[in-house]
Amino acid sequence: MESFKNIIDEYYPILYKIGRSFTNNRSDFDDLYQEMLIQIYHSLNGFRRESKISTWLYKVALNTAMTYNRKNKKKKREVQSDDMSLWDHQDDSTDTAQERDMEVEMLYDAINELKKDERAMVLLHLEGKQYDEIAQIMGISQSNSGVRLMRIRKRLQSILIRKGYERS
Amino acid sequence: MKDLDLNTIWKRSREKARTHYESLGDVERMARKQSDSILSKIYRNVLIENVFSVLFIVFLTVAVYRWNSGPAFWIFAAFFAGVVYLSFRVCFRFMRDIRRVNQQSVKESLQQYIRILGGYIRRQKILIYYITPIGYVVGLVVGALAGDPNDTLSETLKQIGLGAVVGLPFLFLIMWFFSRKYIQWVYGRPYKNLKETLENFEREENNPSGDEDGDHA
Repeated sequence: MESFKNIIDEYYPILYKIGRSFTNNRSDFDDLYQEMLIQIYHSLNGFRRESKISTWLYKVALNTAMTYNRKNKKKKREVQSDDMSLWDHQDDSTDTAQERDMEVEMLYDAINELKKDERAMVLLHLEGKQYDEIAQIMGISQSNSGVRLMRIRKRLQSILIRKGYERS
Repeated sequence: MKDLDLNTIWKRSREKARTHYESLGDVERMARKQSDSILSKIYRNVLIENVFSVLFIVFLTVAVYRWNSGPAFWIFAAFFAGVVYLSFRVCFRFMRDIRRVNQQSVKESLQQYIRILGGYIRRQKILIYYITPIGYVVGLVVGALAGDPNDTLSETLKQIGLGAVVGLPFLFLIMWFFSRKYIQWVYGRPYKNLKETLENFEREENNPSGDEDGDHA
């Protein structure tokens, strides 16, 4: 049985990306990130090695994100005013690095505009998962995942263009 | 329209993730904290309810023994043991389902989540709307029986009837008003959101190449 620390050490970027794709401010992100860690920690004993550890981890983390609810409305109001300022920006980075940072932020913002199941699917797709694995994680057929992904990808692109993204 | 290079941008987000990463010790400390998810709350509630139910049944068994240590006690004891066994079986199955919910596919997990949450809401409503008034009437009967032994049957029935007529509507109104608000406040919104997410999921599954319009979750 792989230890919790080893798993997190290897797969922490997944948790970050899922957290960013399912929240739009730092406070919610921290709550969701912690909840994913808790769920992985407590579910580890139930991992039966019937699938790859990464597939299992995606399931636990995505299910946590899909069912995540903001704690309360008051908290939502508090953070709404300065959503963007809550994310880490490296002020001393070069113009190119800042531009790349902004592109990444824009992509996360665009993903946030999708429906929850669409966010999960596009995230798996961008992570390089094949249709069969996406279908297994999502619980849908392989052909269905292919058709849906094509549509979601187009929609994501149109959101990015609306947000002012230009391909260099 | 040119295809935007989403994959390249996405790869850059890995670098971004690195800056957020905390030490493994911190991560493990975070993971050991208490979960805030609605199912974890239900899990804890069910556990507490069961512990209190067992304590109550033990108390009741002792009370019956003090009242009658003969055959009546053994009948009650066997009945209580059956109740404890059944409630534990149901409770452990319920808790096992909650523990497994996150390890299924996204669709199955959503379905299971809704089934558990919906079942729990129904159970709470049954407990509040039916069991509490029945418990109140049983309390009235026990109280009346423990009263003056010289009371005639008609007097005892009168006491019980009066207590029921005066207390039940009042009790029911209070329970109905506050419990409805409480259930709606704690479980209502997450339940509604989950149902919407699953409905959307299934709609898209049945119509994968459908138009792009729709509400966002």
